[in-house]
Amino acid sequence: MSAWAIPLLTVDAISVRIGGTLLLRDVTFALDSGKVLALLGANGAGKSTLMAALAGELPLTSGRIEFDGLPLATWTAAALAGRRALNASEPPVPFALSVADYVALGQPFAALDAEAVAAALAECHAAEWRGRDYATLSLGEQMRVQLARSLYQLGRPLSSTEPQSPCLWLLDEPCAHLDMAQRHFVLTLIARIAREREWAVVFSTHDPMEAQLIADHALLLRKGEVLAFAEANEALTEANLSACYGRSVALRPAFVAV
Amino acid sequence: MPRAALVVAVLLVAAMLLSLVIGAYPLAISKLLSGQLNDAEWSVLTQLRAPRVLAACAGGAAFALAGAALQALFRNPLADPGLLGVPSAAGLGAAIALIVVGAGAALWIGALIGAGVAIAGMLFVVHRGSAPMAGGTVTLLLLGIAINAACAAGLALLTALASEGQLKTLSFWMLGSFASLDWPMVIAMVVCTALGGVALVGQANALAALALGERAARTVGVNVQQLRVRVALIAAAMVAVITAFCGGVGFVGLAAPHIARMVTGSSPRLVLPLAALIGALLCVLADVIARSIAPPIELPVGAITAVLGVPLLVSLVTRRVER
Repeated sequence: MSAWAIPLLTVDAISVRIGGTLLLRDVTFALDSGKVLALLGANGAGKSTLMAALAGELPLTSGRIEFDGLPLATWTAAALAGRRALNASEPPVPFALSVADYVALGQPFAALDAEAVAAALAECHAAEWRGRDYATLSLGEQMRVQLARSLYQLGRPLSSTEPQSPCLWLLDEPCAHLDMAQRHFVLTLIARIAREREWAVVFSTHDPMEAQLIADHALLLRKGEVLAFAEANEALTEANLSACYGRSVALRPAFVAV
Repeated sequence: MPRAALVVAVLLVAAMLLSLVIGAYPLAISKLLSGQLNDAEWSVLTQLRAPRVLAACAGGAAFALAGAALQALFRNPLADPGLLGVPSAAGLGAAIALIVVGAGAALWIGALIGAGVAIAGMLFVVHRGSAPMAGGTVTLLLLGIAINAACAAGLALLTALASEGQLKTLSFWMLGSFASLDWPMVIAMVVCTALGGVALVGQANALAALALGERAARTVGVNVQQLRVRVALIAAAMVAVITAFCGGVGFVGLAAPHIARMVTGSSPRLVLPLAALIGALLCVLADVIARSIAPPIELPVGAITAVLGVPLLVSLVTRRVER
């Protein structure tokens, strides 16, 4: 199939300027479906701006982003919602809302598919909370429910036999508030979904270890520009990371969940 | 939900019947139900009681619908139509009309103009898309506070200028009343409330997704900017029409959605219709109380709803703090 020939996501020399500040400059990369890309960079390097641009939330100053062969700007909100999910830090939910109802909001305009909601929760090991008030969960637990929401958003009815079009899953610091065990769970979940469903995943992180663990590719940003974009083991070098964070970084054994 | 709605609907019908027979000129409920009313009684029913019962229903439903929609829109359970500043703007418009032109129709036209100016100001800010904060919820809230403060200041200045008689009309009108409305006004209120209610229910799914936060709502396909303009416009227009004819009836817009959420959960698809029924019920009851405490004197209905609503508000706020 010719669709496999072109990458699912193509980012071509994009720049983003907000108020007189150039936040991203000449960023270029591509990502195939089924692959995981880790986004690294110091605070203020432009990770979240790039994430927002990939989600279609920001107008580009120059350059273009193509998703599945079409310019991102030409996608309708509804079409994009079926193929692209974003998990970023989210405000508290203002009203009492059960976990199952929360996940169902992944597709607010569709008829409720309770089976698919349950399946998405089970995938995130969150099925036991389905009747709980979302606000009573811990931050780490809420994160897993948010991931389930995205799985439901991009998911299809379980009965459907048609092959699913590859999706793009964007995660802005998905492990920010997680303990070691939760972090390991979330990372392996993301990686497994990417392989099993042929989704492209972009996640940002402050921890190169997370990129080492699951990323196929890594993109290092410095002051809005690409410092390195390559396969993860090539991009994640002591020299690149030292340049990325502006201080010397060395590879040492460390405690990791396995 | 259907059972809860049915219970509230039955209560509402009972309250409406009660409201039709109670008052300075009591009607026998048996006569009303069997249709054996004499001419005087018939005219009390059709010219005094029926319009005011319907006005109370429409007003309560409109404030409740607007409150439920705004609470979802602002993601804030304490949001109230008064938050947008529309009732105060309507009040200021009415006050200006009363003092410049005089009582009568000018009062209502002034209220409509005032509310219209408030809505236009709100939309102007929402549409100025360039500034980072433009159209944000915080912007809308701050604008509502500003409108409220400006209108309060304007009213304070005007009350100083008003004559004794004008002051009385004005203060009574400001506190709200469903009395002395003509049929055309009542029909206008009912039509506006029905249209606005249908329009808001049409936005219920998008409003539901807003519980996730504005960014996540956008991710799942909601056009947040458009939703904000639509809901703000519909809610403000409904509140303006009701305030123009009935004055400011406070706390219904806050209380009714809360009660509805306690019964049916937070989904706007269920909360909006149920809140409308509860709001209508609250206003019909408040109106009955307003004219049966010290007949033939009629107490301002807005004061009654406030007396009922304040304890509720306090309990809600304190319970929220505890959680």
